[in-house]
Amino acid sequence: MKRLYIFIPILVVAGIIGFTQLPSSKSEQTKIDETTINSDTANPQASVADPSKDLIIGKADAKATIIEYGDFKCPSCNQFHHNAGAELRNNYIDSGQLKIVFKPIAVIGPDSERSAVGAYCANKQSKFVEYHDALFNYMWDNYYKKANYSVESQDLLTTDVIKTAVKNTSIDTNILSTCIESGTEVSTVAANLTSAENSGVRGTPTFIINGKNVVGPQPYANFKTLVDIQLR
Amino acid sequence: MRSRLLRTKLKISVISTVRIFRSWKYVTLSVLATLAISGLVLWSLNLELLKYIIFEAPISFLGKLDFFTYGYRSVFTTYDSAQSVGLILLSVLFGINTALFVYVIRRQGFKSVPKKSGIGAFGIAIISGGCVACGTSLVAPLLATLGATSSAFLRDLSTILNWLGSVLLLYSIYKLSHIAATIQAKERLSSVD
Repeated sequence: MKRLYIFIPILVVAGIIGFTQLPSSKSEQTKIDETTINSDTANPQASVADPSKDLIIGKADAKATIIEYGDFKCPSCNQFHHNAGAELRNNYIDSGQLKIVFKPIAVIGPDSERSAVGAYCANKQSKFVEYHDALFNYMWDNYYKKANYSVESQDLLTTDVIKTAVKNTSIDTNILSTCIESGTEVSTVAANLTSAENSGVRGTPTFIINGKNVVGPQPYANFKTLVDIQLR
Repeated sequence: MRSRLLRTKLKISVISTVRIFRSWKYVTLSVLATLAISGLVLWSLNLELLKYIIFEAPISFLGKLDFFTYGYRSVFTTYDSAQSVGLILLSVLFGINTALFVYVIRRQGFKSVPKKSGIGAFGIAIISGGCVACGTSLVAPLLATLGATSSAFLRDLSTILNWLGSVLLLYSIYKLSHIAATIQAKERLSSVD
């Protein structure tokens, strides 16, 4: 019993020390990564993204920034899109205070890369947000809403399916499919994966906010707290 | 005959556990252990963020507390129902197991505790927590080369581990409650003497 009384406080103290000494190298890396979307190295959060290169939801000069590493095939990314993501749009993005810089990475199915390339192709038509919403809604309505996750491993998002998913948008599907098939943006998607790994990203969705990695589809309230800190 | 024996054993198990939880100390311990393990699972992939919020973020104490507790409050909206129910079940069982564990070692020391089940369940809880919180992972391609067909495998794995952890905990509770029943019987006998 005495051993227990000694062991538990030692364990608690060791835990607290370990927690406070967590390496901060990852956050340093993420800060470096954030500067890649802007030139304001002194204050990465006050960033201005480049709409011609970056996939931006919101105004490019919005004060607060969330970088999202996601995959169009990822159910948790879809969960974020339908929950916290939707609320962030209503409360911060629509009023021009926040932008989400979406960095698609291909880590799930064989069609992850194709759908990620499609995002950059849609951005060339200045229709990225429409593409982003259409693809996530397509996967949600047809599969993830019904908890059908088995499709993750299938080559589901073919170019034809992507064209079907975006048919109700103003995207020119012929230009889109030609661009996807040409594979011109494959290197950009590959570069995202490298930047994700350098930023300590280990899964999707991972968000970088205030230089910190936020893993998983966190509740809206937590995103709100982190965005409010940026907006001060 | 066997089912009757099993029923009697389960009855003994439940009665001895209920007796322990008549003490508010064990109820408190159980609740704290439940919150601790679920917190660990929920925050396992965001420890650095949690550290930032607690020690660095320029927000009030209530704001920090709110940030921390929202992870618990939003468990059903953040994760799908199988994952959230599995997590809650595992956490509650872990809390009960911890209370029984402390009850037994306070009276009979470490040697009387069944060794593997509780620790195994704890390890599984942590691993499954990592999967629960993440959902999909960059290690998916690696797992694919090792035979896993996709990252859907990870999602299923997290649910399986969660439920496996719960089964192990149930077994541990069963064993510990029987030791507790013996202790309670001895205590009653000695009080009669």
